[in-house]
Amino acid sequence: MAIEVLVPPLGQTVDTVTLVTWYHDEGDEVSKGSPLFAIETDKATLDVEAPASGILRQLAAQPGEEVRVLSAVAFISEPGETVIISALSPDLVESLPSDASSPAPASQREEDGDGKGRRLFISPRARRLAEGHNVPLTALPASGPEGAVVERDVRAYLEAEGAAPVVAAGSSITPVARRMAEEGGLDWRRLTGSGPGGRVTREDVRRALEVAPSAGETVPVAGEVNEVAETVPLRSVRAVIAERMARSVTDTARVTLTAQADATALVALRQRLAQDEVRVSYNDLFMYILGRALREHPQLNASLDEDTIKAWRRIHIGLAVDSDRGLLVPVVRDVDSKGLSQLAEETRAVVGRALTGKSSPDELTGGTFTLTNLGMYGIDAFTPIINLPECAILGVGRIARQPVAIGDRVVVRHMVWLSLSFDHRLVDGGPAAYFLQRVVQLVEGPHLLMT
Amino acid sequence: MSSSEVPLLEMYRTMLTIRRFEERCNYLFMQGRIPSTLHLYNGQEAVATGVCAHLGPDDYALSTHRPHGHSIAKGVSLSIIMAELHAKSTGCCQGKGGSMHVGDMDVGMVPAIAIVGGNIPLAAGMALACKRLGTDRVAVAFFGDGAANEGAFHEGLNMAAIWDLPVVYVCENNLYGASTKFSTVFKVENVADRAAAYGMPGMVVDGMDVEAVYQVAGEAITRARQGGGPTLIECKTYRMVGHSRSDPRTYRTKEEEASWQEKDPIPRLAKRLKEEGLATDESLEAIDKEIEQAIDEAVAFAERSPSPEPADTLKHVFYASESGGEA
Amino acid sequence: MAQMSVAEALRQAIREEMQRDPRVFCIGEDIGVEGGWGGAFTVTLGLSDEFGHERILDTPISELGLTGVAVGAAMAGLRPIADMQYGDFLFLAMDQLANQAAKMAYMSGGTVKVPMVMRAPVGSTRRGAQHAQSLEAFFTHVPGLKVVAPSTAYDAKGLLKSAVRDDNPVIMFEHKLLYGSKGPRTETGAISATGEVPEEEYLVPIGEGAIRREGSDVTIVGKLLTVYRALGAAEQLAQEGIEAEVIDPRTLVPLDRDLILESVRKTGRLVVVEEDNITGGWAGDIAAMVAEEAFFWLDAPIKRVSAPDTPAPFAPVMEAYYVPSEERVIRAVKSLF
Repeated sequence: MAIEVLVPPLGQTVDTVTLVTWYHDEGDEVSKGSPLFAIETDKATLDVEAPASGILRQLAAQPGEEVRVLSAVAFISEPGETVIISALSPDLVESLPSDASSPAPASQREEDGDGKGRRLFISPRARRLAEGHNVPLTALPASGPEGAVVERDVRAYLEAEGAAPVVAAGSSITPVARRMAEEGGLDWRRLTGSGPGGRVTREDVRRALEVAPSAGETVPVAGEVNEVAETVPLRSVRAVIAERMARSVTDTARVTLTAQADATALVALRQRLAQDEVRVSYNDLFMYILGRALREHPQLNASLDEDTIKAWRRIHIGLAVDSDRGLLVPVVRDVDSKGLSQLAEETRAVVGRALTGKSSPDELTGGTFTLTNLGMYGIDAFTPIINLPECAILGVGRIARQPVAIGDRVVVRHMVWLSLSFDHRLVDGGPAAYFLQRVVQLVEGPHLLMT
Repeated sequence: MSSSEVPLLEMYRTMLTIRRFEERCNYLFMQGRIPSTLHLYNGQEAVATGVCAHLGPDDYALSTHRPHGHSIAKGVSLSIIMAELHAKSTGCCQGKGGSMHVGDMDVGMVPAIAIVGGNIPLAAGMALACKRLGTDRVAVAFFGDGAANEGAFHEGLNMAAIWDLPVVYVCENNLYGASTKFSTVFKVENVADRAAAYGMPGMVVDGMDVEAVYQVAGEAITRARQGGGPTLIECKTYRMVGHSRSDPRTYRTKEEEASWQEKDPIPRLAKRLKEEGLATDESLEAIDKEIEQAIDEAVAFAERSPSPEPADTLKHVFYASESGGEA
Repeated sequence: MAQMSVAEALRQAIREEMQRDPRVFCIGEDIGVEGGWGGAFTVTLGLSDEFGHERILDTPISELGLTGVAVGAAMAGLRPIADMQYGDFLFLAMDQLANQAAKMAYMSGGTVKVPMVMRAPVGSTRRGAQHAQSLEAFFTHVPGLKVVAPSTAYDAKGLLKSAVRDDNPVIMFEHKLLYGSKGPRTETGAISATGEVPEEEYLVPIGEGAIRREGSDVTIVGKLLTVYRALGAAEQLAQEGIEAEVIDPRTLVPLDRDLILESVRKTGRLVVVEEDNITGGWAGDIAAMVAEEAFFWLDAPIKRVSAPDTPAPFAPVMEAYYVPSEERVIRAVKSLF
């Protein structure tokens, strides 16, 4: 699998840097950690190391060119591997010279790209979908037969970009809604349609317009004027996150229960497994525990659909991850039917795909419960927002050594805060509390998972 | 049979109409006004005429790639044949068929079959229908000596015989299948000798003598109508012109052609008519003029008729009936 | 409703049409012989007792001749159902079908009709190369002929009745393994296409296809025996999460193109399965049509699953290699994902 060579981020305010020189040519063998290319900001020139060993391929920027931070400027592949244009950053592609007189700029780009005339294998169906949504073809992963970009790749891209869920090649909009969207300057194709067959309705547009501020608008506050330091229009992923978060908070009767669990045994278990070469993360362990607990407490594995509560037969748990495109929730399916190692492997894969923008649409939808872990940020308890249409979400804080009282003695144990937000429209406090209690029990005594 | 029963004058007119029509076609072809080659019937008129004199519009006649003579004898209007040859939409086949497929079911002339021998089983089938439907109609298939060597001849005649079908098979032996001489492809002397192999009567007749043809055909057709089954009639005849318009006839000798020319059925009948007092030179002259005029009218009709639309190509692949025969 | 095999359904159709219209008759070899088989596949068994030997007309071994007689009879007012004992023998009658029957309406400028049916069994059944061919492609290629291929008892009866009533020459291909003939005429390896056949009058219109199984991931088009191959493959594929839509066109000419195109627009993938040699076969025609009309809905190349370009072999192990199997269909479908 080819590895992207990214321009490293150099701080918060630097968007682009200049590529000064390549230390290797295309086709050279490079070794991980050795200098690969040099970049220059207005302050300094730095070497960038190769992220992996292999063959350097498809240099996408020339010395002297301005490149965007975190964009891919090359690939490193295994010897003999053919690299398909898939993850070239759209940012970089847009900065390439375009021929204004060309009738099909997309195809020209894919031919000329870096001037090396690669052929883009993309199915007609996928191309049609991509072009209908203004997706640059070279930004797409290719998972189809014969290494072609196929429909699901475009859908995955669109999902990740926040235009989810794309129901049909060319989703539709009611005429009234279209007019509203056009007047409001909104790209309706990015909206989640709540009408039949995913059709975007007037209501969808109305809601979307409420959360999207017009660019550059400032609200003068009486007395004091605050300058706008930066405007970021609410678009794509951000817009969808905004819309969904707001909707969850307004639509659900959200209650958060917190409980502290003694994770000492869990920590020990993880270490013991590592000694036996079984590497699992805490998220894997929490997933496993949740799978069991949800099987025992099915009311927490349910959704409210209008006036019907649907208890799901299968347990699919989403894991919230922070990607550079924003919040994504890749889903692992049938959690309770998988062993820990399998869970770990699948989670790794599914999260990996989400982070690199290669998820299939299936992987980003269909969850029945969500796990969100802010422990790495030093957070203890918090009030996670429920991922509709689920009815509950478990927030996990940091696992930290804390003094606790056991009997009359004070001892130091690994403690973790668990924050369970649930939708009181479908689930009452009692059942929610029992569920959280069970989770605590399994965290404190993972041996119970054997029973 | 007395001459008063035999429609001699009518048959003369028919034969001469065929002759003049074919001559005119040749002329028009040479002038480039007919877009395809033609297979002309000059010299064989007595056969078509003598046989078709016994047929009504409800009887079926099936012909070959050389169908003008049979069509005219069966009563197809000169105008629609001429229009068809001119590739006009008013042609008997709406310009869809051409010279080798002329016909008109309204007068029982089946649009001709250009596959040698192809009409032989068809004729048996049509005769089967005539019999099954309880009519006394007959089917007559005209074909050349060459067709008698096709498998279709063998199979068709056999089935006509075993089922006693009301069909008459008329073989016009003009000594050549295209350019191939009869004697090189037949071990028997007469095509009609083969009739015995199928258990049906076989009759040989002088195809240049319209009265002889008329007599023999009458016997066979009557037998068929009365349920007596099929007959194979062989008419010894000769094609005065080439197989098609691109045939220089270099496989025939001038002597042979000359000898058959002397047997031309039309002057022969003219002589007979004058002997019988049924016609004079003047009356025959007048008939000729009428015929030429009729042909003139046919040509004029053809010339002023419209061509088909190119998109007419797409029509009539399937038969359209009110009961929804066409999908 | 009665449970009928294809052979029984065809027999019933013939019986009903012959009762309804005195112009209808059957013509073929060994179809009405006293104490005989009722045709090689029992379809006309017993009919000569009911209708006599003039309407169930036995012929000499003269395929060209009997076909020509059928054509001629149709032109002169009867409505024959001709019976070709094995589809392979159609080649002997090619002139009468392709040159005469097919072209008569056209050559006559639409004035002459040929309302006949020619029935012929196809398919490989361990009888050797000359009794095994699938000849549909030779006839779908001739303008002026309608071609039908029923794969169920219901369709067999309904289509044959429609064919008899059509004023055009209709060739009906039947598969030897689908007849369901019993007794001494039972076929080894037969598939049961027996099904519910209504006793009351019904027709299956010519030109209308059927969706045998709905699905959203791939369209599989088959005919006759390969419809069953496709259905078997679809069942196995479903277990792996691939839902196949199986289409049985039932009529090959005129083809229900919209049925196939709508399906491909939905699924984005097409596999065509035929028991016929791949080069110049029917599947290629379907594939080209779909590629022309629905190219931008395709998510993967179109695949054909056909017999190789060889005559049909005798040995069972080779025949199994020759005739498209469920496994080959599954492999083809999976290669599209």
